[in-house]
Amino acid sequence: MALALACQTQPAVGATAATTADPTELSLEDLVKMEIPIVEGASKYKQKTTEAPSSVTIITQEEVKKNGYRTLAEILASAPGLYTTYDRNYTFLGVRGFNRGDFNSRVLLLVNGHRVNNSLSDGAAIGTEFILDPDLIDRVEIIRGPGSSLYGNNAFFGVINVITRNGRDLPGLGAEVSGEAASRDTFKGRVTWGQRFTNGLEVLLSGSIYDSEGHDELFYKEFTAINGGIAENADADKSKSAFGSVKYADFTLEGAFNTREKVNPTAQTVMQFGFNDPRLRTRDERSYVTLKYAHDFSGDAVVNAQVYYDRHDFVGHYPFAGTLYEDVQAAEWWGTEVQLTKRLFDRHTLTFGGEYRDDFRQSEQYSPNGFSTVTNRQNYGIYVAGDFAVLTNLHFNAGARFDQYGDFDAAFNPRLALIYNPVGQTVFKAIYGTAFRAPNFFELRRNPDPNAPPPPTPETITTYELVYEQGIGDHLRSSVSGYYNQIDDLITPLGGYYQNLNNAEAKGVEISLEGFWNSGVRGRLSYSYQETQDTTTHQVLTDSPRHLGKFILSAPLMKEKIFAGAEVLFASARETDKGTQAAAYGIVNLTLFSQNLVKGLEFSAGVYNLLDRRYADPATPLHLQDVIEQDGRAFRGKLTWRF
Amino acid sequence: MRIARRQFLGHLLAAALAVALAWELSAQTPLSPYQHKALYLFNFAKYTEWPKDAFAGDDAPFVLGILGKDPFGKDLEVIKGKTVRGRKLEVKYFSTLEEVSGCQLLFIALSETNNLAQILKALENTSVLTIAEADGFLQASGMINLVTEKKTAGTQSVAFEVNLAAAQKANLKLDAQLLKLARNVLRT
Repeated sequence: MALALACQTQPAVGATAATTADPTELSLEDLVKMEIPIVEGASKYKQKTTEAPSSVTIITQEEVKKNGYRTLAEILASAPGLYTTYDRNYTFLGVRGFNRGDFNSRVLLLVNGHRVNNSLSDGAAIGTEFILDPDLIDRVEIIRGPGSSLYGNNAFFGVINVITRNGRDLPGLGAEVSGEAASRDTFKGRVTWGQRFTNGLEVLLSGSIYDSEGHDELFYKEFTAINGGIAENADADKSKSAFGSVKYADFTLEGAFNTREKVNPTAQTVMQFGFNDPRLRTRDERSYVTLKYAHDFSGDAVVNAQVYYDRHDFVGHYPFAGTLYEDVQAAEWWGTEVQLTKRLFDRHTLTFGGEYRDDFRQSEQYSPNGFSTVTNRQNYGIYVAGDFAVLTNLHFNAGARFDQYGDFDAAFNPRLALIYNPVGQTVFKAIYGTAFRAPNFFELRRNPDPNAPPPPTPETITTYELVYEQGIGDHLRSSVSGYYNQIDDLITPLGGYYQNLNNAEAKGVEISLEGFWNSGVRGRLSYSYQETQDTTTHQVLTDSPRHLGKFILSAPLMKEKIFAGAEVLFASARETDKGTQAAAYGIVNLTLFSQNLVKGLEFSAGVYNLLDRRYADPATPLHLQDVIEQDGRAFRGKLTWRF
Repeated sequence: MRIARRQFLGHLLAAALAVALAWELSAQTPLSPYQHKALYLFNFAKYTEWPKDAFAGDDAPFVLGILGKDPFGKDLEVIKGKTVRGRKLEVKYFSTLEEVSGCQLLFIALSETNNLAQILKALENTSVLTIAEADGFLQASGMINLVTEKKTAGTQSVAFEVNLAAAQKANLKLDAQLLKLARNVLRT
């Protein structure tokens, strides 16, 4: 591992030897072997990853299968600089050393370009509560750095664009049936049908059911007074989801739905009152329907537009001092977006866009005899971005977005990038940008109190980043990225109100080396060094590992039929909210995947946490626990039949 | 399984090391998808032999025609003006079938997908190498079809398939190398 890393950190030495050859000298054989990188979410149009004004990682369906990823969270955790924390209810995403154990509102999550962060916490669901069955993912684009200049709110540390499979991807009759069984009484079933008809109509429909009983017993030493600290049968996780997409000509109608109920064994917020009580559970329901229009006018202009309706429902049941409280939250919103992308003189690309969103219902009702809040919010944003080829090998990329909310000052966020391709497969990117996160429904909510502090204003981030990408031969790609993030006005709860209390900074380096060979072997090795500090308290941020190391490999055991996938994930110790540490961990996951042994049949068998390491993630500030222990060794078998 | 894993790890390290040491910086700048396809067109011209009467004269250029909505734009610059089969490569753009004339190689854009049968019928007795990127192009007696495939890690690759019978009918000789690299060759 160390050797491979060393190799790719010193490539500049030999670079002068390379000369830019005439591409027409490429042989037909070269062309057949060639792979061209493409990415959509970084600039809101399709472009090569090397031209994107960001550090980008793309994870495809093939990797999801070969490495046996079960959730979006596991997919993300395999990417350089990202890590996840699970509190046995929700999964929190850490990006570049920053993970506050809230609901991922500092990352913008998109499904086919549609924003799926919810309306109340602005959170992004990535565990079993993610709106999409991970089997429907074609690829995940992870675009690091501030994205507010294009996307507005929440594109703080990055943008994650999940792109689904299409009807055309299902051959034959277009049917796919999948079933899986896993440790701790976990089962999942899925039925999908997709087709593209000769008249151009394309359809994909899918439904899934997931049911996991979870651990029979979980022990938490903080609760030894109740049932000896054991939460019995309190870990069940059940979800149902559906997805549908109909495309015809320039129009796409797409809808998604997920309902997920989780019993909560860790008893945060209700403390000892609800521990080991199976009534303590939460249900999240999330859905959207969107109508999209995309037209490619000749003369290199592309118009994209969408109008959507979204909904989020949450019910929490909290047994508290003998009474079962119910917290019912609901939000509905609609919005519309229009974007024009225009190529100028075939060298420059200009993008203009605007969006309007109306969160016409945001509500929360506590019962019995609790408070209730009903509000709404409107906002709009306009943006412009350009990619200018100053020289054939030097691009200047600039963009800015203006966002107006009714309840606080407008946000203006620019991004500037220089992308320089001096020679061969060498690319340098220098990026500056800012982003914001608006205070959410919960943070703005106030009781009528004359002594209340003023409501919080948006959190902001300023990022400086240098990226060096180097292709090495036909099979290896490496990248080194160094960044500095300055985060201001973090919103922190104090005395029942949320206020802009903290500032923070993060700096770090990410190194990755990816390899692909025609034999079917592929791998990615990455290391991240990240240093964070709360500049108000001068302490290291909680849940912020200094080192992250990842090694992901898949290789054929039998050509194009049987593959072995291995994954090693390492994170160094993380500070907890209560001032201790969650110890460093290294876990190994193994997957065997086979396809076409029998026509149309895929089989996979996975072992997760192979070495049965005991490790724990930092708990959130709402927990009595300091850390939450994670799963030991687990197995999953999965069978998918296509016909 | 553990031994196998170690082997793969070894495989990866060895390959990384070998490549880094040999310092095989491949010379080309990363190509865009349509530059990639343009280079395919260029290579198809290289590996095809036209009958003499397909050209107006010995000094006549080699003409690449593009029918329908041009997907290449500036990406075609990588091959414009280059020499192929001893002739200078020129590009002509046709918006309708009626305009098509005087080209040796015709790329039929996706915008014409619904008229493929009609277009190919009209070209039947000419020595024009027809190329497209549409499902069913070979079945409609087109000659070479480009197939774009999404590959690992957000990349795409392009393969091609050949209808040899259709090319032979048009008096075009396709080189064995071209047939060898085709993913699929229709011979009847």
